[in-house]
Amino acid sequence: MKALIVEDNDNLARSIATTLAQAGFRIEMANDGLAADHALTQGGFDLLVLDLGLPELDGISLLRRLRQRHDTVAVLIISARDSLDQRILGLEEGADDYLCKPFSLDEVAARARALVRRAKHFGGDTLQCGPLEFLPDARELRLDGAPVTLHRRELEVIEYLMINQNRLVSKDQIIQRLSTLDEPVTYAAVETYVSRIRKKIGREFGLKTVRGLGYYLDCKK
Amino acid sequence: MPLFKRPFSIRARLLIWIGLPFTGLALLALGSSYLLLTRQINETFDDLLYNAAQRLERRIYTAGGELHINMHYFSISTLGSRGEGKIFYRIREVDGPMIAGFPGLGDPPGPLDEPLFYDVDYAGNALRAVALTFPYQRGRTQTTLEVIVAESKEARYTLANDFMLTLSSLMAVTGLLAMTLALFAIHRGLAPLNAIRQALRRRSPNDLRPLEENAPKEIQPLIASINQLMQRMRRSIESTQQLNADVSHQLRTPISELRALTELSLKATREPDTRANLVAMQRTAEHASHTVQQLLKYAKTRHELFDDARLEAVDLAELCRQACAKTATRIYQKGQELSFDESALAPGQGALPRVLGDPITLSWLLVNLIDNASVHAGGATPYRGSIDITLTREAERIVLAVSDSGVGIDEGKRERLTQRFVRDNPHAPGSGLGLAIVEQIATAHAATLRLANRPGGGFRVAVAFPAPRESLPDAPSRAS
Repeated sequence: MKALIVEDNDNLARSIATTLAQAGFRIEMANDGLAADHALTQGGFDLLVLDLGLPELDGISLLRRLRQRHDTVAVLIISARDSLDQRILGLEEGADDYLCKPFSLDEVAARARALVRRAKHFGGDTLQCGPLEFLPDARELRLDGAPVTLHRRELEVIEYLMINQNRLVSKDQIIQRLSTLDEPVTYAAVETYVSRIRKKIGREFGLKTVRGLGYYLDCKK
Repeated sequence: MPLFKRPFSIRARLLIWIGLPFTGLALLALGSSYLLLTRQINETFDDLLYNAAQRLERRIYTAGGELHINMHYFSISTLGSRGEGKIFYRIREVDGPMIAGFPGLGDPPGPLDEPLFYDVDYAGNALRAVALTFPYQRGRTQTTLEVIVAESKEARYTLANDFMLTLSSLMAVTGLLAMTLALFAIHRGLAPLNAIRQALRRRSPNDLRPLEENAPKEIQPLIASINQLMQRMRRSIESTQQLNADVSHQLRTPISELRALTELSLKATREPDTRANLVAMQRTAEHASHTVQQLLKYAKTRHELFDDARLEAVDLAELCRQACAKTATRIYQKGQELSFDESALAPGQGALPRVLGDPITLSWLLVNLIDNASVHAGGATPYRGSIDITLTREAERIVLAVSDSGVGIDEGKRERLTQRFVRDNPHAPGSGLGLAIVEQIATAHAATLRLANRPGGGFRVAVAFPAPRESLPDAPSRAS
């Protein structure tokens, strides 16, 4: 996985780079907007960590150029600007997530991993959560290495939960993910799939029902 | 220091300045009416008296050289001007004996070259008398007769008094009517001032929007002054809050650096003493960054500065879901749980009406409440329970509540919880701004904040929003 960190503050750039490197990213760095734009045109990045307040070319303009080129790289914005106006602007311009300064490095790493996991969920990367392992290419869930027999829908649900591990997932989101035009999915159906997954796995694996909201798959690092 | 020592109300001033001169004028009019009237009455009565005296003259006849008068006792009264009061008369020859009448009626006070009117007392009666002389043919001798006719003044008094009484009552009634009209006019005239007073009283103490200026021109300067004052206050608060925001903002990057470098060093070292120091530094940096963020939010949510233009129809249920999604990770990582319940919205009531609000500050409010419960519910020990968010409808209010089943709070400290930098729980980190921010946002939305321990243990914060009078149009949620 390759990440570009665009941050003009050396201390922050260095800290984020070290953290993401430890999280398994290969790092490139740019300290102004134009350099970053140049690097991005070369392509090949899975993640862009972008500070909004940049010299030469500001973060929002950079983001706009990026999306105009139909570059779908996952973008995590980091900004000292006020969340009141900037958060909305950033997300509307096509950022995938947003962190406000001051932030913790653990949070940066967690968000970066989640972004890439979500961006890559069509790709072949294996998803991990505690004793569970999901192999996207083989469409297979393994518990402590042994395959668990799940139906197509159940596999899709557990895959989606594992992609969004450590996040609140609403039933609506699952329905959106599962539904096709000719095959609508109901709340009751989602509940049935989840209860079957639980039964088939047969032991506690960190999946929590969040009353009135959805599910939370708790995966310890 | 008061501007006036003891200011009369404008109403009192107007009443005094209208009432006193008018009363004076009315008294003057009454007095002069009385004088004119009594003179007129006297003249009229005197004329009648004079006529009576002349009629008496015709009743005199001569019999056997003696002068007689043809008058019965009862016909005396016909002499009188109006048949009221007592009539006295006396007829005599000048320098001769009395012919008829009351001898006690004294002589006139002056020469009688022409009829003489005068006042006289007789037998305890105040009388008005006329004395006149006329020539009389007594046989062949020419003589002069003197006639005095006197009449008690009661009739005059009665007439004058009756008239004055009628006049006074009439003036009193007119005066009362005039004062009522004046009161009404004052009331109407002061209505714009009352309107301003009402408008100022009705608005919340922190509402610094200008007053409407469609007022009569006399009070426009007053309104303009009030508005200028409000604007100055607003600017002063704005500049303070801007400074607060700038300071918080400028601190963000350096605090981020400190925090990041501390975390980085912590990962790199295994030396126990250094690690202990770094952990302490990390905690301090986290606390500082939290405080800086909260200060910024506090500055941004001062309800005096709330901008109505930012308000839109907010779906509170959706807002709750988003706030839960935002906070879920940190809640579950602490071993706590979240729940959201909007089912209490009574079946048949349909969807919860949207409330008019600012979605961003409302989401701060909710996130603050959830974080507050997460951090403080356990008191001295970390909380391991559930944080429950509910949306209910209570009559005209929509109540958003965040409850926990932790240790609750000391009842005595409840009032102080929403004050800035008051921290109830010494065991957990906090900026001391969380509930102050919540209160500011609630106030800006005309919502009331209720903090209470739950009967079964735990703490509950309820924010009661006024339900919109008509259903608000659907607005696309910007936060989605």
